[in-house]
Amino acid sequence: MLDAAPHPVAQKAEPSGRAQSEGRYVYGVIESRMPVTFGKSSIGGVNEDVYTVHYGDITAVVSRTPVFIFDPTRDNALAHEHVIESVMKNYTIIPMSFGTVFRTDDDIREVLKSIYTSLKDVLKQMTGKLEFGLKVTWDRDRIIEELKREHEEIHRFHQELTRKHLQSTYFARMQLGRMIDKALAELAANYVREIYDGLRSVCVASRDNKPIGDKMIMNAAFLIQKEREAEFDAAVNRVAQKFGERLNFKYTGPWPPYNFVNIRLKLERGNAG
Amino acid sequence: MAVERVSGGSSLIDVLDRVLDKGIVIDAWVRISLVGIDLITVEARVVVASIDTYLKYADAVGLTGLVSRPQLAEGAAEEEVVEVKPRPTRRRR
Repeated sequence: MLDAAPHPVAQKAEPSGRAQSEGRYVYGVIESRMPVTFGKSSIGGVNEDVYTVHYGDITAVVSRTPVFIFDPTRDNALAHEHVIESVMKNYTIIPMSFGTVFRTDDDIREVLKSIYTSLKDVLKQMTGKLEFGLKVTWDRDRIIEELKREHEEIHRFHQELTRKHLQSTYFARMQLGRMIDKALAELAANYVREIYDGLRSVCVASRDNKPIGDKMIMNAAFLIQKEREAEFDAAVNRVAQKFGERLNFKYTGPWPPYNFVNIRLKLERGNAG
Repeated sequence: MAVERVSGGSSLIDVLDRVLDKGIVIDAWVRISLVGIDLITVEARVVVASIDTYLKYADAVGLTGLVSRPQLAEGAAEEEVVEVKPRPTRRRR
């Protein structure tokens, strides 16, 4: 039932067609007493105005949409991100995760009201801050070759192994593999520590996510004071330069503080009615 | 030089990595049931990763070992949990 058609707008399966097209896609929450607009959103393949739904001085950034479960297709994910980016130009936004649709403006107000204090608190803490992502990879095979040449213990073992007769090599190879894994982990840990050391003075906070795949040794997010973005940029380049060709640095941003805000909501069927 | 910088929206993997399950998240099962029924928040757990997550922790323990234990960044220690509107507890006998 989730594998819905790629173009939800084209769907008119529901008998109550009109009500079905009157949902609100929510992108995030900002601070503002006045109504604001943010151009158009193409989420779900439509082209709708992005506007705000207020509760006091906080407001949700939304656009009209059919009530629909969105697939995180390339187009949808980028449309979501595009709206967030245009909001970020002038506001601190607490992002909503992808695909959150409410049925009415009142539902949205109800949610804003019930978590008002927390939203205010988070908005205050995140004002003027940006997130950057940093992924560091290495050429694992090349590093292993280096270890075989330069790591004393591994080098000796490897040499011995290549001289040995076949019958003993199976376990010996296993042992060599374990030695290499251990050396790789130590080396990666040292590198990551050095990278953090080079960046800590220019960031407010950081978060260590799990590296993806065996080439990645670091998958971090940094929270930066907006006006220090250039300093952070310079620091990343300085650190990367230090490692030269050994490590590849890929960094992305600015993002809203996805990795530093974690608000979990559980909604339940209302008993009014 | 081995530094590649791209703006957020141009890297789909990084977008998906963030938008799918970070920020303000509504439980997945509810997202499905959102279609066409009246909903009211009954419970909201708000978790704000404290501003100093890694760095402060690193200061306290010394940086060693953190890398091999990345889950420390998510540990309960640096998160503040606010029960906003707790669900009425069910009576049990």
